[in-house]
Amino acid sequence: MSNESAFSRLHPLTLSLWFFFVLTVTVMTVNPILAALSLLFSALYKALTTGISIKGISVSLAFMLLIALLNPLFSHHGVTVLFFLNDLPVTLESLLFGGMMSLVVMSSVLWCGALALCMTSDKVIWLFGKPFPKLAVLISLTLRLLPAIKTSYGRMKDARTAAGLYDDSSPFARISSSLRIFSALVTMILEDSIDTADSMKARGLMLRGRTSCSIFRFRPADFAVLALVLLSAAAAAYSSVSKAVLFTFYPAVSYGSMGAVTALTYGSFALTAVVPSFMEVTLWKQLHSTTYRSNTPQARNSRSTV
Amino acid sequence: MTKRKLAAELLLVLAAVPLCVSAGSLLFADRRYMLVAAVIALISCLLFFLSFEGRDTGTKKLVLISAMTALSVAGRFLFSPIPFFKPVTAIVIICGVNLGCEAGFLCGSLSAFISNFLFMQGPWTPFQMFIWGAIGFFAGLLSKPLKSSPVLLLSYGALSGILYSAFMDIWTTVWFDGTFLFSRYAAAAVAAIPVTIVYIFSNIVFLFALSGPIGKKLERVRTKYGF
Repeated sequence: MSNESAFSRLHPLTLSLWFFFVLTVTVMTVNPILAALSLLFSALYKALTTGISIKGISVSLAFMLLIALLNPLFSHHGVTVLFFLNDLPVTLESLLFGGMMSLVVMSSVLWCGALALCMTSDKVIWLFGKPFPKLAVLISLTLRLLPAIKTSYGRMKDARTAAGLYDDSSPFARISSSLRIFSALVTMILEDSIDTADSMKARGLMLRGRTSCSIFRFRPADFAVLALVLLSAAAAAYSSVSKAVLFTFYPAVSYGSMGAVTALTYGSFALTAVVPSFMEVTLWKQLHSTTYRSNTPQARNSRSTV
Repeated sequence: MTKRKLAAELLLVLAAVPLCVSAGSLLFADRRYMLVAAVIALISCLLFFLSFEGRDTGTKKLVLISAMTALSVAGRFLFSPIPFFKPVTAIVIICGVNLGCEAGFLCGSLSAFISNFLFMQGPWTPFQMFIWGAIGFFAGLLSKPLKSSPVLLLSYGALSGILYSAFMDIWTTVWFDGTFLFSRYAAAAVAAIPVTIVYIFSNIVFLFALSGPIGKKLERVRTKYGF
């Protein structure tokens, strides 16, 4: 099964810069318009890829409400006092700031979900491979061991259950049974790792001039997305320094006038943030056309078997 | 990698710290602490990875580190039904004590990095990488006393649980407010007391159960294959 989204077909470099830009703006902004745009498009992308449920939405809204309502209890800045609680002022500004923070927190959680979906481990290894070759080897070795560990653990557990030695009658018994299997697993993995090491050494690991396999290609779409990211990053940086999108909550809510730079910043951020959803929708259009279908791995396999 | 190239890269990373801090305070006036904290956590990990690239690590040791990392990541999953009761810290400490500072740091930071692929990557990843890496690093530094006295080892495990929780609470505080509010930190720390107790308990249980067997197995592999 492949849960690959259209956006994740982009080059790792494009993807990482895109996520770096959007996450930086999302986490760092105190501007409610940018935060709201970020939440809107991250939620849209989640709806298009993994889907959203009524339960998920209500849990998220409750979480956001909690963040918004908790802030005035800790922060007593602001000039509009609503009421006093234990002789401490509860202010409107603090409540609004809490509301803005709830947008920021929720949208960063959603973008992180998108990051997990798109930046798969092979892309991360590609990114690390150039500056950190040893680290990339270490990460890919570890990732390769994980499924092996899972399978062996399952087999050992089955064997011990069949022999009547796996006891899960109480939490304590379950932990000690799991630990017995885990210990056997450690022996197996450590002894096997030496074989792997010898084999890797025999094949010339860490020799000079070693190259890594890469299946990623830089396509026209990558150039387009990259250009968009650079444009919006420049606009965001400029308006941040020139205080065009300045929004302050304390002591009183105030914001700068809406100018051309402000509009450009909001517009370009919105355009950048909508890219994953846009690509997801166009992918579905492509999927219905025959040209796309004939290029999928399944189609190629069926051709070769015929 | 040559020595000179390594020195240049180290210098570049060192220069990046003040650069990021000043850029952060210029660009994101209200929320700079968040950026500064994340960047410092990330850069200390990168610094360590760079020095690791420059050093000559044997293939066998490299694979053993990856095996220990895979075991700690797998441990985070095998025990996932019981919340916060995880062997990760214990395995990172065992790795540090038996294979040295460098192995401890790598095992800790990569456990956080890799297991978050399967749980969830987020702004907390650099902080987890840093604190688990540091726990492994100091376990390696203190390997002599920790190896000789089981009581010290278990106390180190308990202390790591407290430090991990306290450090991640700093992250929570900075993330929510952008600045460090002590009242918020105190509230987060108090709210985390039950979790901290589970951390301490699980570290002690796993160190008690695993440090002897895994230590012996690592020792055996090292004498058997000679490195």
